[in-house]
Amino acid sequence: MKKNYIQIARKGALLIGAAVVVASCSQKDPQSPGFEYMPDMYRSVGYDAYQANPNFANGTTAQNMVDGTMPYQADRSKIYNVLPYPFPNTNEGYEAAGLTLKNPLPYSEANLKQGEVLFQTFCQHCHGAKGMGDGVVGTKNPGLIPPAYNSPQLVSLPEGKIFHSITWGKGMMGAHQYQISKLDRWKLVHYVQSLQKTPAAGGATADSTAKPAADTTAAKKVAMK
Amino acid sequence: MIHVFNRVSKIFAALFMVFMTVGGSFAQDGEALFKSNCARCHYASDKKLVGPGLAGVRSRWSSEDNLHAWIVNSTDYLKTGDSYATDLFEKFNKSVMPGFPNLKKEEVTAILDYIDKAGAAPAGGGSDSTAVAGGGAGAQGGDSGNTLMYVLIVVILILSVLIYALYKISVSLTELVKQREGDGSTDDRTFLDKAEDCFRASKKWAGENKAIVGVAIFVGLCFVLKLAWDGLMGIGVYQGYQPHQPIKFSHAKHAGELKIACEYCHTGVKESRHATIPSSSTCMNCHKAVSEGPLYGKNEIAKIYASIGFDPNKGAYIDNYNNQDKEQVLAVYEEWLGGDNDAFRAVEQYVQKPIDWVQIHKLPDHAYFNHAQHYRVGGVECQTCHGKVEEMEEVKQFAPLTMGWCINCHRETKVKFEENPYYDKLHDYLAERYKKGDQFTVARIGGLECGKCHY
Repeated sequence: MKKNYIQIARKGALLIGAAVVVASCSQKDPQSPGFEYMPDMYRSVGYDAYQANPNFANGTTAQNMVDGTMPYQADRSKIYNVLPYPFPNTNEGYEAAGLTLKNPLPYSEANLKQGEVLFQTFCQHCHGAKGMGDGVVGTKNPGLIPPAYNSPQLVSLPEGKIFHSITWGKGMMGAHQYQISKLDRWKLVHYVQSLQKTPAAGGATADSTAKPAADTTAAKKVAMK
Repeated sequence: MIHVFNRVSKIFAALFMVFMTVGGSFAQDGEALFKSNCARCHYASDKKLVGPGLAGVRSRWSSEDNLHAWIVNSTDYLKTGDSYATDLFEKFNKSVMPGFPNLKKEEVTAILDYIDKAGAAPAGGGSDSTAVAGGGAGAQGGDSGNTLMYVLIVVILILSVLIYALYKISVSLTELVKQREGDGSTDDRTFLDKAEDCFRASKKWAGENKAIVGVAIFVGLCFVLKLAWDGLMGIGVYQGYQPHQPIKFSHAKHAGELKIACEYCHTGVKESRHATIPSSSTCMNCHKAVSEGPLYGKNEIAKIYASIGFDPNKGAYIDNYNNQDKEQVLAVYEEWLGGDNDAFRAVEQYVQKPIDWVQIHKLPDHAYFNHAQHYRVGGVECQTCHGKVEEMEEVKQFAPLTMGWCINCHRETKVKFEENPYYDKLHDYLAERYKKGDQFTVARIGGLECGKCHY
């Protein structure tokens, strides 16, 4: 009877020891993801989008497109998105875009609404919810305060120039063509144009009627060159 | 009477004009005007933004009139062939300064006065003046566990030294007492003998108190088995994984405080299976202007610059960056970080290299998950699966991402059919077949089928 008891105690001690080992091994360290069950089912054999890749010179799987090519677009309605943008990132390109570029999307309630959603995602943190240049980013970084859409500089900006500015950036604003597709950019243009019509607080709309003419003549001059 | 009134009002008007034009009231107007017209492209200090830093701009120009003409319409002024203006235009890549025809002469003067005043102050533009203390709350949280362990180890060490010392003292004291009593017979048993005695004694005690020992073993076993069970169930589950990233990017700062939408950087979430990690060019949309952050200064942002090839000293991209001589490029960042210091060595490894972010959320390769389907069709908030990332200094895996967790959500979530073009056809079919008001979970439209995720 006594011997039996000691044997049980010994087995118990052994079990406790094993359990302690397992428990201590699986202790969560925030720097480590922990154990993986069957890593060969976890990890892809092929290269994942963001994986390092020794087969390319720059060591990444994600590569830039080859010059002169464009991505395949299965959805015919979105084929416009992959067509090349003809105006270069120069002052001449900016003026020419302002003169010739027109919005392919109709000014509709649906497009405007989608434009607003896009605006809340991509623009409002700098430009402010209503495009008054009062976004949160600007309040913390004085270098990033954009002009209001209804300010004298921007109130009569043509749609082509708005599109060009989103595409290539302007001043302190970066190029957003890599984040927003072309059709989405045109929806944004619709929404920005609706914000341009916001009455100015200071009543500075007086010169807004005079400006478009001057703007287009300047653009024409450049285009002539 | 009316005549007198007119005269008085005229005097008032004149006084008002004098006050507006001559008085110092433009000093603060200068600041407001500067901020609304110039601050987008210029700092008042000597730091470059899009255009040159404006400190001492008056002294750089030949005359104040020329400077005024330049500000009001730079394109026209360039035609006069002023050599300084032409040089400036060439130096800044021929980018045109927009005209400000609506600025009056006094307003331009007020702006210039403000620049004189602000440029003399040492503050560099203001972006770095908003320094905030107390970053890295998450990082500190991660460290506190370790420190606790070290403290525990030290305490245990000190205690064991103490116990050993006390034991020694008591042994030598008994020896001494025995010698004093003139017993003569010293205790010459070895340590092992004593241990054996002790073991026998405890065995005897255990034999006499079987109940207590049994209960103790049972409780201990339960406790440890529970730990072991949890440990085994945690294998392959990353929940709580919070690795250090190559750049101490703070989501709390960008998404929380600055209210930048998740989708601004993770653009793929609408279109693709991946939510996508933003490329460095997305960072540069803001960090072209913000070269020093309030949390870590230049050190972390410099890693983006080193990766993408932006020269912060000049405020311009380096041409053909990846084929530039590495030594030359390194010199640029050494200059920016003020010498061969720790910060520079941390940045060095990202020169001409992509930033190797550490993947946190990892689904096994045999499970398919699509972000666009959940975000656009399902209308699931990012926070449902990722937690409150906008409050995290360092991102931590919030959900277990186990199959049970997926299935549970599919069982409980009601499908949003309303105004959801994706489900137009299905909705009509189901509406015909089932009663109105019948709620549909994801599970009921096939959300539990194996082939949906495993194929």
